[in-house]
Amino acid sequence: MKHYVLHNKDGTVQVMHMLKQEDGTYSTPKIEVSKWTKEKRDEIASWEEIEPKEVAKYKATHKEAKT
Amino acid sequence: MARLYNLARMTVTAGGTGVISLGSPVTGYLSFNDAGVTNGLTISYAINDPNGGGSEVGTAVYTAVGTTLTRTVTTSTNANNPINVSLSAQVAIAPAAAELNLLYGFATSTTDNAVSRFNGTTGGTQNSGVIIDDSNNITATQVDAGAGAGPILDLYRDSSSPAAADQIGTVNYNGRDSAGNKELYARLLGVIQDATSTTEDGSIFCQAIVAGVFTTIWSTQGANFDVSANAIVHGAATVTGDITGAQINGTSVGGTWVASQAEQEAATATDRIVTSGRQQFHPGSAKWWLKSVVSGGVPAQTVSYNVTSITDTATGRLTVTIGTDFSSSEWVCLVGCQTSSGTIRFTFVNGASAAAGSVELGCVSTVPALADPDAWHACGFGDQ
Repeated sequence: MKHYVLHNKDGTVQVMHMLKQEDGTYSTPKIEVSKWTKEKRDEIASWEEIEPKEVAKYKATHKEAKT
Repeated sequence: MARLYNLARMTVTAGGTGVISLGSPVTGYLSFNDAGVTNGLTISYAINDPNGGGSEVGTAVYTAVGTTLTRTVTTSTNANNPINVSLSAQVAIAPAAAELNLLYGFATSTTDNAVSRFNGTTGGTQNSGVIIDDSNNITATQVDAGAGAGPILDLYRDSSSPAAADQIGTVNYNGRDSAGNKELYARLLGVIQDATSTTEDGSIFCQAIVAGVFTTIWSTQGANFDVSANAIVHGAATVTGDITGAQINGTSVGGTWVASQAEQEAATATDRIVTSGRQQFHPGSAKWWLKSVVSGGVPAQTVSYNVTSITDTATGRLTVTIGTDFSSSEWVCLVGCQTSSGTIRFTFVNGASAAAGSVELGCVSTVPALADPDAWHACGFGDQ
């Protein structure tokens, strides 16, 4: 897997885990986020790839009010 | 061929160019009658007329009463016409050269290696269209611009008691084996299947040696073509009827045999092959599924199908992004969870987040408050 931290505009984060496909390739955060609803897309400010060992460090802190 | 008899030679009592009358046997010879000739038989003859009449050979009909010969000239010293036979002539029963050439297979034409055949009309021989060359290759040529079959190799088993399973004409292909023995390597064999007049059935068998055992490779059975073992087709095969049997092996199938995406989505065809790349288009098939074990608050992809990423949106919230999207956001998501004994969790789909290519799953505790399960279980059904 590849791992990305998605920085929300409100300062919280989400952690995206990219899954390896049958052909050995990975998608990209840009493609993945483009498939989300506009409301969810608009929350994202930027993203960055992180090492697997950093995943726990970036545990999701997204606010839960919108759920 | 006209008849031949030994030691027959007679004088002539009435000559001319037509029917001649026979007299008595020449000294030291037999009369035609004593030699065995009977009335009405056609014999081969030779006439020699030493008084300038010349000579001729041919066939003649012998008439015992009056003892006459009605001549048909083959060759003569009178430009192959009947000579004017005088009373000095002698008539003998003798073969013509053409007949002996036919007997010994000598061609009389200038065609190299051509086989001669008897001409029943003239009593002589004529060149055939069959050539046997110095290597014993046989060629039969029929000069004919028509559409009928020919030349024809006609093998006739003239049986007085034809019956089913009788083997009839056969063409054999022989060679030698490594021990120098003559070996029958292959043959085409005709067989009677049903000898009933007007409803006859016949078969042809192609047989060959396989690992030392004479084996039928293929045969015809009624109107069917029967291959005894495997049929190897190196090009395309067109089958206009059904294919029945145990199994089809190969690298691919195509055309209308294979269910299209539309046919899979219609879910009505019962005469199509479903392929692994399209089976999921059936409305009863999951378009994606996922089990994600959550460890220490971090979800991981444990097993999945058609899921490209999972996003830990927040505690108790997991966004699933799928590979091949649905055709719209109207599709069914089923979500459940796995929990430890004694722990109660309720899962739901965040309807506001449902899109053609993604969905957000939710999980709450009994408080209620968002809470991670031990593992997410989810799948989606709909049209792609």
